[in-house]
Amino acid sequence: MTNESSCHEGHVRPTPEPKSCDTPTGTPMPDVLRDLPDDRVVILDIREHVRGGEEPFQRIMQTVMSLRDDQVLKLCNIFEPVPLYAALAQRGFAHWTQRRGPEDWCIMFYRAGSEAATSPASSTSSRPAEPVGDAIVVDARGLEPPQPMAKILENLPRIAAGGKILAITDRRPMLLYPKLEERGFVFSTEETTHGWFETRIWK
Amino acid sequence: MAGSKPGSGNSAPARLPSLWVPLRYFVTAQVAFVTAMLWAPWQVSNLLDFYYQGHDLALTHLLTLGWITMTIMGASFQLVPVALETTLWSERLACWQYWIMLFGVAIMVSHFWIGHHEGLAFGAGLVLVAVILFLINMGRTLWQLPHWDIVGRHMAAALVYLASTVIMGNLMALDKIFDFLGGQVLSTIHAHAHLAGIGWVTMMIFGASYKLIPMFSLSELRDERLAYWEFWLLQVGLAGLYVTLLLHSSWATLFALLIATAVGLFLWTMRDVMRVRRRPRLDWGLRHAMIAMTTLAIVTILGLWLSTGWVPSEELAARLAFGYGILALLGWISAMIIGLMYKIIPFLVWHHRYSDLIGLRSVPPAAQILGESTPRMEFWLLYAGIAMTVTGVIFASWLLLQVGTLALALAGLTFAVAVCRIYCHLVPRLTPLPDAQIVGSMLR
Repeated sequence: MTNESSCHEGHVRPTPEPKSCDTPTGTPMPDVLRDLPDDRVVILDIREHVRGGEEPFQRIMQTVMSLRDDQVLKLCNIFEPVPLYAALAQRGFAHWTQRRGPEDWCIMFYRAGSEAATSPASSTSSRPAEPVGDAIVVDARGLEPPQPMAKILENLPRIAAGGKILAITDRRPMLLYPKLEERGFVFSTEETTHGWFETRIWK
Repeated sequence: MAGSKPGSGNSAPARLPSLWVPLRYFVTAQVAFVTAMLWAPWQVSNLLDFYYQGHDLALTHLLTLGWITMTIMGASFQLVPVALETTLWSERLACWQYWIMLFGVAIMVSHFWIGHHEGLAFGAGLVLVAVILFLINMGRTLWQLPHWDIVGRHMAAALVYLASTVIMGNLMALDKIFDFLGGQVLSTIHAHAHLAGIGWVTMMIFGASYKLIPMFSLSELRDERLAYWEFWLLQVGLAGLYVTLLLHSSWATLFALLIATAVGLFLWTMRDVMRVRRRPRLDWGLRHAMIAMTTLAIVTILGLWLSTGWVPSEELAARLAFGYGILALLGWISAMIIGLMYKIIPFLVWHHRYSDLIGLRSVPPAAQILGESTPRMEFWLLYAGIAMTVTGVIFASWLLLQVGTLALALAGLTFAVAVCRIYCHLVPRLTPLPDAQIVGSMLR
């Protein structure tokens, strides 16, 4: 198993992975995950970051967005990240979860044709209209109003020339729009099929 | 891509009304509440008497129209754009409505006090006009909704009950002059009070709670099915209770039971919302909301008991009914409104004063605007006051009533201090920001 150092700063690095990954409990590993070559498994270990109080969502999303079509993400965490399942299902990822011990969870996210096709999120294809590979992800979910608006506005100065922000919120950011217009930003909001909203902001 | 808004100049997004539209309603409502609380210690002898008399009715209508209805109207103007993602149809109409409502309530309350029936009917007529303007504005606003969720349904139903309540109130005011309702005064009052308390206010609070309590507690409404059951049970229960109260029928118990079931479903749903919340610590706004919901359970049980008529004596029944009304007005409705105000007003003020400075200057978080010590004092004074006042009314205890109403007066004053401190943030001279600290290189 990889350790924290292999995933520092959200950088992803293909890491050798045991070919057999039987789980002590739960469902058996899907066939699609068996016998994967090393270069198709990207490992992100966020256990130490989470223990240190860091919000890992942006790190995970940046890693996900950098995956090649044939790669899978192996996420190591101290708890089962249930909300993440819906977030990545939104992007066509299925998952397989393995609990390896107390505060030790391993979740494989993969683009599985049949599994992903059955999820309502993937069937409606709500992948971003704009490329988001270079976007700064601002996850403003789970915040009480007006904190989401404040968090997004605080991040506006980070938009470099040609760059953009992908802001994720629980609600449509109605109060943000006038502020963005006043500051000369262009924006576009999509409601995802899982109930949150993605707003892309650029100059 | 539901409701996407590409670019910055296409379909207009919903926007908040200007600050003064909701604020003038809130400030007026808070003045009415504080006035009523300060007035209460001088009404102890009236509170020991039967509830149907002019001074008690003046105090009641100061609370129901001046405090509760004014607050809900202001909150509707403020929250509809956020909660339902639409824009208020007319701000100008909301301003006209405010003045008509203000004069209507002032005339009604003063004429209840002096027992002048013609003046009372005139004031009630003005309130009716204000309510019609409110209904037009909210009706046109809600009409723009793309779909009717559980919040929109509750709001629409509440507006229908508001109209029914005010029309009935006008008929009752005219009856005092022309005497055409047949003399069933108490039955009519009970029906009128339940139409207002359950149909207008509780319906609106339930609808708002489904949106606001998950939003403020960082939780979610996981299962809306119970909320829809609650909605329809409340409709049937209230319609039945209204008719049976008017007819003085024993079937009232059946409909009270339906309403109690609806309340139970609401409380169960809120319990689930709070159980999965991501914020363990409750702030003062949510603490008020939790106490209010607990009180709602007590009020419901008390109402159910009164509907059965199984009370040893008529005198005790009258005292219980008086206590039931006060507990509903203060312990359920006012407590819930104070709780929501502690969330809504800081948000409103913060948005007006600080939101343009985000990214440019260091600004205080909205949650800090309320403060800690004054709301804490207000919280304990309010609930001590309510407990003593209601107990004093039920057991006809002068001492409990005197101490309880004094505690309520102090609670009113501390509430006034708490909200004034929030409003101070609207005046930069009173709440200067720290030295200019540029936190970004934003171009404006």
